[in-house]
Amino acid sequence: MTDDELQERLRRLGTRPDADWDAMAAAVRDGYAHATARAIKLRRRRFAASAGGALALAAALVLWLHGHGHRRALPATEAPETFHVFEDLEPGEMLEELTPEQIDRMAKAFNKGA
Amino acid sequence: MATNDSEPDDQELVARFRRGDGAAFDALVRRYQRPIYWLALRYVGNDADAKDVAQRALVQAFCKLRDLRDGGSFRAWVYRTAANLSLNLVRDRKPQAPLADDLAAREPAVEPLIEVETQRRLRQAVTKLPPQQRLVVELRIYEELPFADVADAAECSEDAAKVNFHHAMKRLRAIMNDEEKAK
Repeated sequence: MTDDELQERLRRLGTRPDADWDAMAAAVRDGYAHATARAIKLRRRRFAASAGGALALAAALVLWLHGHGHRRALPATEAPETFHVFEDLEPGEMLEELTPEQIDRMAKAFNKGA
Repeated sequence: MATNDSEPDDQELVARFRRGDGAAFDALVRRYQRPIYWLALRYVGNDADAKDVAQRALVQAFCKLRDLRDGGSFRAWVYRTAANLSLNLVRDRKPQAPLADDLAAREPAVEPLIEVETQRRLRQAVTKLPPQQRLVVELRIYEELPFADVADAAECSEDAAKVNFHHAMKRLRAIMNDEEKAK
């Protein structure tokens, strides 16, 4: 069988029957409309899921900030610890220089150290 | 595919479809439903499955249109989709007689019996070709597409399409000659 003969035979296999083309076109149109509607629904669902996720993240962030907001620096009502410098004073005189509160604090610090 | 001067080509129809022109959609369907149905019929062998494949291939092609950079490749896309859907359908089928009734029934009754038998064997031989070779044969012989377009649909180079066609012919000739010798 030659190449031409073979190709001719193959062409004869290619039947081209008629069909209800209008019905087929309508089915394609319906199928496409259905697929598009489904795709839109899916996109909306994905968007809703991602928006929900974003909302959850935002809520988590707000809660975290709120929780950490209570752990601010201590208010300035308590005076910061300061060094008291005694210059050329005898131990008794040193104590006289201090207020009762300072003496108290020193005693506590001494006890802790001990 | 520009059918004639008065009809817009695929690229234009695709562009219009993307802009929401329903008439362009209908024009593309009308242009491709016949060749796609016939292609599917040669693969699947019966009317109902061929219609189903043609419809699904066209719907998928329209759904994918937005991803296509080149509207002109709509034809390649839809042929490829139809061939793949047909092959999947044939593969998933339960084993059955290799030739479906619908196609066999379309053989002209006036042909001599031996001729009918040769054609039947040839059709069977075509179904045994590797998918790529078969697609090339289908598009080249039945759709009479140039090799450049065949290559586009088969996702290969033009040279590869020519080589595939050559191998397919060689294979079919060998099958037919072997069977003739065996008789």
